[in-house]
Amino acid sequence: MSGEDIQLPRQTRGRRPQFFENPESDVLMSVVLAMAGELSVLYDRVDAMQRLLDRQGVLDADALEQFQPTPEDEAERAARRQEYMQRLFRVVRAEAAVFSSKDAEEVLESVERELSE
Amino acid sequence: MPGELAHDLRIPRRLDEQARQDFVSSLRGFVLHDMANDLREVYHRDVLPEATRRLGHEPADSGEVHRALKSNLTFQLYSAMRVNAQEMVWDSVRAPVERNAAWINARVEEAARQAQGSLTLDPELELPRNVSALDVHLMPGNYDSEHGPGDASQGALYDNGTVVFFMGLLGPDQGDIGRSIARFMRARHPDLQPQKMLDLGCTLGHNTLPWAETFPEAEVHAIDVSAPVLRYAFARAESMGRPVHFRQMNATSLDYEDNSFDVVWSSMFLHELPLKDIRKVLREAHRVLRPGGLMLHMELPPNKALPAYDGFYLDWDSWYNSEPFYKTFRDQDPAALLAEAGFPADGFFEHVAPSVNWYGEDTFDQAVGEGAAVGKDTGRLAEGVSWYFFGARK
Ligand SMILES: C[S@@+](CC[C@H](N)C(=O)[O-])C[C@H]1O[C@@H](n2cnc3c(N)ncnc32)[C@H](O)[C@@H]1O
Repeated sequence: MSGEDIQLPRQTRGRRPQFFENPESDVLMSVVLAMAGELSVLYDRVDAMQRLLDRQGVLDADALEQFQPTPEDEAERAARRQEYMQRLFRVVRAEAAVFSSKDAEEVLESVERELSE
Repeated sequence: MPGELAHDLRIPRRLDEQARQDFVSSLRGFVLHDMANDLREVYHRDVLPEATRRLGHEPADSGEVHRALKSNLTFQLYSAMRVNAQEMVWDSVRAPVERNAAWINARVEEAARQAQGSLTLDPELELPRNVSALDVHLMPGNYDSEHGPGDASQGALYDNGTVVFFMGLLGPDQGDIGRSIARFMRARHPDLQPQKMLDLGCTLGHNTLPWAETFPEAEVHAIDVSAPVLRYAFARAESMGRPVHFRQMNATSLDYEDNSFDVVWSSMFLHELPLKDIRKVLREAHRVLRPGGLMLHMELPPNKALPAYDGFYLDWDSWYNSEPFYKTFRDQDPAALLAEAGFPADGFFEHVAPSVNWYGEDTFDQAVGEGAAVGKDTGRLAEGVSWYFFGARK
């Protein structure tokens, strides 16, 4: 039967787009996102463990692997991941926030003026 | 959050794999919601005034908006994160698919032994370059790679990946587009009772099967040019008890009789073809439709229906998601394309169907009565989902 040792390709054909001025920034972004993902995976595992410990009073490794969140668990976990996104990418959003760098400069300048008066 | 697939080809995921997929869905949610809103705001607040001064007029189309944004950091962050999230979609499902590929391929063989529908492959068929030369949606191996004889694993990759990609928005069978539009047509055209229908570029039959469900008396045919996805589609349809006749065929030259179908349908298909092939497909659809028959295509709304910024937002995929024909297609006027293909000009229609999965059946049925218009969120995965489609009566 076919498919015993199927290996799917790892790479996408075509050139990866570069968005930032320096290519290393694009690479760093990928690494940071991968790291963020693995941290989230770890968090979900710990979360599952906590909930199971809480429910059963004992840690059963098999039960942990089979853990299925209830819809309520899932809603809490999804909300927690969204919060995690906000924390992780705070700087990404701050850059776009209403206090853009121009405004920030103006604020700084006005403070400096006040202080020197 | 990504649900689980609701058919027998569902594969088990390990705890960490599930968490990895959930993360990617959450990441996409963050990018497509929070960051997309930021990008819109930054464009209108910072980029637009400066570009207007430089150009002497407001950026008038999607291309001008794109050029104005390229050096903007918010655009760069948004785009880089969106490309990464896309790559991570496939990355997050590869391992479970590899582990279960043999089992999936055995399901295909099994389905073939006791089928209600059918699967007819054409090993001689030459693949068009838009399939053989690309990895559409950045999916490594695309629709067509075979990693052994009788292999369907690229189909499994696509099925599991699209659940993550759509963040579960299409429902457990991922049939929301077909379901919403078939239901819309049934409500608006009580006389519509197709006996025989055809889906072009069906991939996994996600949006074929809802038509069979909505019009149970119809004999349903579906074609695609890629064998791996058809094998998967066939086993999937059989496992769901929906007999469909799948054939490997190029939509630019259909091996069906003239005047033989009541409905010809496609979803998210035309934009993956070069324009000259789109023209051929439309002419073929016209030929195989019986007089009075209906042709329908679900797509993102054309650029002409949208303000420049919204056009740019939807064209993003054309530049960065390995969909090189998308923009050219969306720059066309669908009515003109259909007229060229021989459809009577007064037979043209376009609609926006609300998503059944998003709004629920009751709200849906109410909204369909009132009619909906193309808005900035049509076809976007933002708050409130709806689907644009156009077509004509022969
Ligand atoms: C984005 S997918 C369509 C998705 C599917 N209709 C759905 O609703 O989920 C595009 C499909 O078109 C197929 N395709 C591309 N060019 C084709 C052609 N000339 N004839 C038939 N199928 C083609 C590809 O193999 C791929 O499966």
